[in-house]
Amino acid sequence: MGLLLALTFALSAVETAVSAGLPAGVRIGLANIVVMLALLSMGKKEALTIVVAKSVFILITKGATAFVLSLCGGVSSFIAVLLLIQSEKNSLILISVVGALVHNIAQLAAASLILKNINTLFYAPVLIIAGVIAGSATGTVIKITLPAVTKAVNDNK
Amino acid sequence: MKFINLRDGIIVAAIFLSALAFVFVGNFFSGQTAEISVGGEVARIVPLDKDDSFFVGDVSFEVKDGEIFVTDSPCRDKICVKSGGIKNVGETIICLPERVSVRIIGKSDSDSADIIVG
Repeated sequence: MGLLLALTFALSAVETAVSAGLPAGVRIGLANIVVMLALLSMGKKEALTIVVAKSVFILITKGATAFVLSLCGGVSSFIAVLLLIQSEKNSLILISVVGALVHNIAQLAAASLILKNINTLFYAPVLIIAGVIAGSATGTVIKITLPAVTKAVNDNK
Repeated sequence: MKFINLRDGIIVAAIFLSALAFVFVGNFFSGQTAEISVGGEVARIVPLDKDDSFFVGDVSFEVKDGEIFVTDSPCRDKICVKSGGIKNVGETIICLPERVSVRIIGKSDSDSADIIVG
């Protein structure tokens, strides 16, 4: 758990650095990988802890507005993923993509509220495109790493 | 759980394609507007969906195909003329000697976001 937390912070820092070169608001969701891994290998309490920890980290490193956005996105995404996981019919890729999309859209909505500017919502299509790509990528990473993570978690029980 | 299945593959592809479609169609119907200011005050607001040509002071403009150009100006260097056309929100053309500036603003009355967070 501690390892995953450290990983979350590291990935969050990397994502902040990388997003400096990308259009505003495009989330690559690197930290989301850790959240999903935690959810699938440990459980929802642990995963939620990571979501909150990530947001607090962002509060410390980037400030209050970013914190609110991160929390909105993270919690919304968490709930969506939690709901999707209930059904066996949902594949990992759907869950990852929806998770990424919900995260982005929730942040966009929060940003619109904060800025009191409805025009911000026009950004949605771009975010959806980015979200699908990011979701697919994170889904792939999860597929590859989950077996190892689950094994590590179980070995340590 | 499975990594991917047919139903979800189709769902994801559909989401992706419709967002893509939105972006293309949106650019077509943008109907953006240009705001021409002289000496810091807004002099004229010009819709870019109609071809047009007109003067603001001594500077002549032309709107064509959703873009606005400066076609002539009495200034010495004519940088404004050489700037070519602008059409995307936020782009600007400036003529310093004439104190004229042109800026593309979004569809509605309010300006686009003033700050970007996250």
